[in-house]
Amino acid sequence: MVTEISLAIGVFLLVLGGVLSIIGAIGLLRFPSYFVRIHAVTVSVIGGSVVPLIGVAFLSYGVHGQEGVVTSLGALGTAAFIFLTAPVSSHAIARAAARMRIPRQPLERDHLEEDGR
Amino acid sequence: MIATIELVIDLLLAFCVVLTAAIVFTKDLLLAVVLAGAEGVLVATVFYLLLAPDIALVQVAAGVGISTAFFIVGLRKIGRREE
Amino acid sequence: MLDIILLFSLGMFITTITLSMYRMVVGPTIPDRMLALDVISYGLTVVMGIIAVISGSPYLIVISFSLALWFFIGALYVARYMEGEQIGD
Repeated sequence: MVTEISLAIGVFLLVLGGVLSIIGAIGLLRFPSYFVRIHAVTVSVIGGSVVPLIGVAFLSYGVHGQEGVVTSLGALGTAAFIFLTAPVSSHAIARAAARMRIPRQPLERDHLEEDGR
Repeated sequence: MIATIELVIDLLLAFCVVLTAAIVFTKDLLLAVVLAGAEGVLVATVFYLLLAPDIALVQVAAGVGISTAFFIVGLRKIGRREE
Repeated sequence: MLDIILLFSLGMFITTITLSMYRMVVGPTIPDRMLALDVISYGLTVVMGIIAVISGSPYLIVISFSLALWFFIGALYVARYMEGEQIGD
């Protein structure tokens, strides 16, 4: 009974993650500038990697039973690590890009410029 | 199942060919370092799909982390642009 | 049935990687390419997880964690270099 519920939750999260990942990739392909594209990539990383890794954890317990607990714990650890470190690397690269004066086409306000930093 | 995974391996190797051509023809050395990191990720996944996880572990560590770090330490000495 | 769903999910993530590879090759600036490398790297992490479920071996999920760790370190190195340089395109 527990394995069937785990299997259903795992399949749902995996397919949801795949759909969110494709949405983020289409945004990465179509948006006009770097600082607009980073919004789509946030969808594609958090929704497209953390959610299906949690789904993989449920799915491994649902398919293999007690033998799949190791894979399940590893997938949960990977999901937690990505959830903690992907915003850090994205913020570091975005700050470097703001310092590099790359072209920013739909620009209304620049708070980093107004603060003088 | 096996045929689909072989198709995925062929697709990843085709991406590796495109990235290698881009590395050869570029003039920006930082861009070449970033493209080499992407190729390291793809080659590590090919090793993983061929069920050689120990070689994939070493390839991930060397191709993505250590090689990028060493190339960037060298790039600080010689500058970014190639004449 | 389960095999078909797993292969369908694998196909969706491979489609994501194929779409990001366009931005990787023709992207105008370096941060765009780092963004595409972000999507490719975390997508391949999920592909490794799906293969680990299909194979059933408990040793295969370690590579997924290792890929996330080393990509984080490489992205921090590239960001430090770009921040120190201050000019460019």
